[in-house]
Parts: sequence; C-alpha cells; structure tokens
Amino acid sequence: MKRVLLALVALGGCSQPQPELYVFNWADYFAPDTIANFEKEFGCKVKVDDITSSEALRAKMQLVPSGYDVVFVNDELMPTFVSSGWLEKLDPAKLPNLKNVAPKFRGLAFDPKNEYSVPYMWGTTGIAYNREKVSPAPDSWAALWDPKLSSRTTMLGDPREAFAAAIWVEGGSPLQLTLESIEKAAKKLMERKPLAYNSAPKEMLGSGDAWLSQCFNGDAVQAADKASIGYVIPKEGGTLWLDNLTIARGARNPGLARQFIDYILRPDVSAAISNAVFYANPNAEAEALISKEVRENPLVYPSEADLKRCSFLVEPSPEVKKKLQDLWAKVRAQ
Amino acid sequence: MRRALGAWTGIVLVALYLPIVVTGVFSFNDSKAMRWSGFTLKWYEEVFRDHNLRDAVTKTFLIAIPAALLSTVLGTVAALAARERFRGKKLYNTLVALPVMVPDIVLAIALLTLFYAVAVPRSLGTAVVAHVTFDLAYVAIVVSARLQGLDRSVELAARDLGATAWGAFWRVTFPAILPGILSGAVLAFTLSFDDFVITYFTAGTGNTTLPWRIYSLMGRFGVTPEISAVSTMILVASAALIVAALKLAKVPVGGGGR
Repeated sequence: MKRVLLALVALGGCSQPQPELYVFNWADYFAPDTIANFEKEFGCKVKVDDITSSEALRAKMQLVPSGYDVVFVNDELMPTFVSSGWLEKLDPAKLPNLKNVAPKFRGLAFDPKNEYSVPYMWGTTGIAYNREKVSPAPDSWAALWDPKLSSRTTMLGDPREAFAAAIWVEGGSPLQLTLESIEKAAKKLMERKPLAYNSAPKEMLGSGDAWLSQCFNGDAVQAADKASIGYVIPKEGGTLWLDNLTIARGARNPGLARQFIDYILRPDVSAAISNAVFYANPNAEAEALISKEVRENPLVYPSEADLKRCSFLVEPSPEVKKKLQDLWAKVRAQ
Repeated sequence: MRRALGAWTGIVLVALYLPIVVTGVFSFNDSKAMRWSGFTLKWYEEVFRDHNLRDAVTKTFLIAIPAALLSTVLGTVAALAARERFRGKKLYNTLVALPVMVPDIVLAIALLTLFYAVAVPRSLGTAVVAHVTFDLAYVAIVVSARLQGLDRSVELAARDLGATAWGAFWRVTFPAILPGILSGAVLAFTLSFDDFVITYFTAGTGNTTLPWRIYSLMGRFGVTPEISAVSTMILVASAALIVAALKLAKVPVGGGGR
C-alpha cells in the first residue's frame, strides 16, 4: 500500500503542472467555445474573471502585479494604462496574426505602433430610440435637447461623450477640445433640464422608461431584445470605441498570453466571437466568416456612410482634461 | 384600529415580497421582454449549462463556508470574552463591533492595501481572512445577545456541584447559547455568500464568485431571465437554510436527550 502511495506521489511530482493563464474580460465577451478550444490546443488551463466596470478594472490593475496575464482595455483607458506602466510590451513579431487586423484599426493614437495593444471588438456611440414612441427617427444630437422628450431622454454619464454631443450640437468638433469649446458645451449641457445621465441605459430603453438615449451600440443591441429599438449615428458625427487585448505588467505567463492573443486574432476564432457577442470585428480576414445576422445588423455594423462620420475621441491635453472634469462636476451638480 | 394595522401589515409585506415574487415569475417567462408570454424552464436549463456560473457557485462556497466556520468560532469566543471584566473592555467591545459600521468599500480597500503592503498574493485564502473580519463582528453581536439572556448563576451552580470550568461550559453554557451560535453562523454564511465588494478586491485572480458574476452580467446585459432564475434559486436555497437553522436552534437547554 505504502509503495503504491509513494509511486502515486512520484507520478504527481513528475508530470508537468499545466500552465495557467489568467484573463480579465467583460462577462460573456467570448464565444462559448473560445476558451475551451484554446485550452485543448495549447494544453493549458485558462481562468477568466469578469470585469465589472472601468473604474473597478483600473483599481485592480493599479497594484502591479495584478495577477492577470491578458486584460481587456478600451481605447479610453489605454493612455492611462500605458503611461502608468501597467502593460507589458507585446512584441508584434511574435503575433503573426496581427496582419489580419484591418489597417484602419492598427496604429491608433493611443498606441501608434501597437506595442501594447491589439484590437478586439469595436462599436459606435450614437442615439438609440424607441421606434414606437419617437417618430420620425432622430437625425441630430439636438434631439437630446428636445423639450417634448426631455423626461424620456438619457445621456451617457461619461464627460467625454456628453461633451462631444453638446459640441456637435454647437457646430464644433469634439476632436480638438479647447478650453473655449468645452466652456460653451458645458453651458449647452446646463440648458437641458436636469435629467438622467446613464452610462448603460439598456434597462431603461428595454422597459420603455427611456425613449431616446445617447448610448453605446451594444446597449442598443441588448435593449432590442425587449423593445423595438432603432439606432442612428447623428448627422454631425458619432464616436468610435474599441476594446483591446493587452498583457498586464508582471504577467506570470507572458509567452502563453501572446499565444492567446495571436489565437484570438485567427479569422475563424475572431468571427465566432463576433457571431456570439454581436459586436463588430476589426479583423479584416474574419469579415467573410461573420454571420449575416450580425454583419447586416444596423445596431452592430453602421453603414459605410454612417461610419465615415465616426471617429475615435482623442485624449485631451492635461489642462483641458482638468477643466473638463471641473465643468462636468458643475453640470452634474445643477 | 385593528383593521388599519392589518392593512398596514399587508402593505409592508407586499412591498417586501412583491419584487421577489416578480423576479420569480419572470424567471419562468418565455420571452426576454418584461411581458408575460408563456411558461418555460429554458432559463433554468441555461443556468445549469453555464459552467462559468457553476464555477462561480463553487468559489462562493469555498469562501463562504470556511469564513462562516472560522468566524463562528472566533465570534463566539469574542462574545464570551466580553462577559469577563478587564481593562479596556469598552474599547474592546467597540473594536469587535466596528466592522459592522465600516462601509464595505472602505474595508475592502484597507484589506487590499494591507495584503499588497505585506506582499501576500491575493487568493481564496485572503478572501476568507477578509470575510472573517466582518463576519466575526456579526457573530459576536448575535451570540452576545444570547449570552445576555443567560443567567450566570446557572453556570456558577454547575461549578458548585463539581463541574470543571470546561465541563460547565460544554454542558451548561454552550447548549444554552447554541441557538445564538447557529443563527450567527447562518448570518455569517449569508453575508459571505452575497458579498461582492470585499471579495472583488481580496480574492485575487481566477476566483470570480456568484455575486461578482451576477454583477458583471447585469452590467453587460441588464436584468436577464437567467439572472432572475439564479436569484430565484438563491432565494429558495437561503429560505431553506433559514428554516433549517430555525429548526436546529430549538435545541433544549441542557443538550442531548432528543
């Protein structure tokens, strides 16, 4: 008996422990088999934790090492993550599938050489509206200032997006924020009756409490399960958002993390994710494999014409950023 | 007067339980919309198929059970100690009860900072330690309340009749406060089971618990029928637990003999 036990112990000691990969991602933001297939192919164990909010993500990444290997970071957070040194360099040479990413999603302002990040999924910010209650469809950001609908309107509780809408209404461009333009936008925001700011109005849209909401297209997709929801990119313009794959500084297994990121960049893997989560894909090679249901969904993929009016918001200068925060506090306090 | 009281009781009960009933009803609703469109069990099937949720439930138990056990022992001892006379007793009582008053987020950040400062990697173990810090306070309060109702002369009589201190504790004190200990344990377990904030900051990686997962699913998808189904199951399970605890708590003073 003793000998059997000893043999077992020896066996246990001999076999290599399975490498582990710790991933920090938004809940259900993979296809159901994305992780299982990777584990099988690379003989490892992947543990995924759910990100609950951008703020909570930041709080956790601040303490290096966070314990995570692969972390999902959106374009807005990227400048902070890079400048704070919370990310490991990617080494594009070790990511042969990086070439699959459409050129327009490579080398963006927050990471010009893709040293730290690889695009994952993208989308837009526009106006979602209840098709039974709002007619005709809104076509301008000015709709958010419509006094008739003010009790049914929400705006994003994010200063950059809220100010962008106000600046567009004023005829300016949110891409070059100046102290002057944000002062003016703050006045415009204060013109509205105090009303709901909501960063994820899917519940309100779905239940019919909100009829008109500035929101991320993903929230419109979720709300459309519950109500008849239309989504427009206003004529003045819309913003683009992008989630990125990154490697956390102090990752325990950076090699496996790179393999994971390269795996996600495979056309079939990437397309399967889009098909499951209903988000637009920056992977040019994956495009053909994306189901019609997703590819032709106007809530997911804007038309070419709409897309032309969309752009990424740019990180403002520190001076403007500070002022933006002060003004935002004033707007919210009114 | 009576009728008014009865009506008021009715209103309070409706306010308390209607949301729960509605959640239960919608977990059987065929459509995702907030309109009734037919009975289904598909959301429950989906919940059982979702291995992420299953893992989350396991992790939740791995934290809540040890935390409840440890804090029950420590909390009971803390409550017993508070009966004795010693210097700084007031301060001691305040310190034991303080975590009840401290907001979760403050405790979470404090614990995270501590673990980070002393370079303890966060894990299920650190989460258990974190949970014990606040569970303990609740157990101590519940057991103290029970101890206050206990006549100390009964214990002294046992000692007079020749019982050792240890013997008197196990045969007299312990059976008398057992209901308090059990309700303290159930309370500690429930608090640990649904804690999100402290777990999120102290559990390290790979340990998403059920409340953590529900919170992030709601952030992404809003209230879905699957979440209603999970909530309904948690509700039924905790109701069963509380009923069981109440039954168990009816241990006659003096122990044994049943």
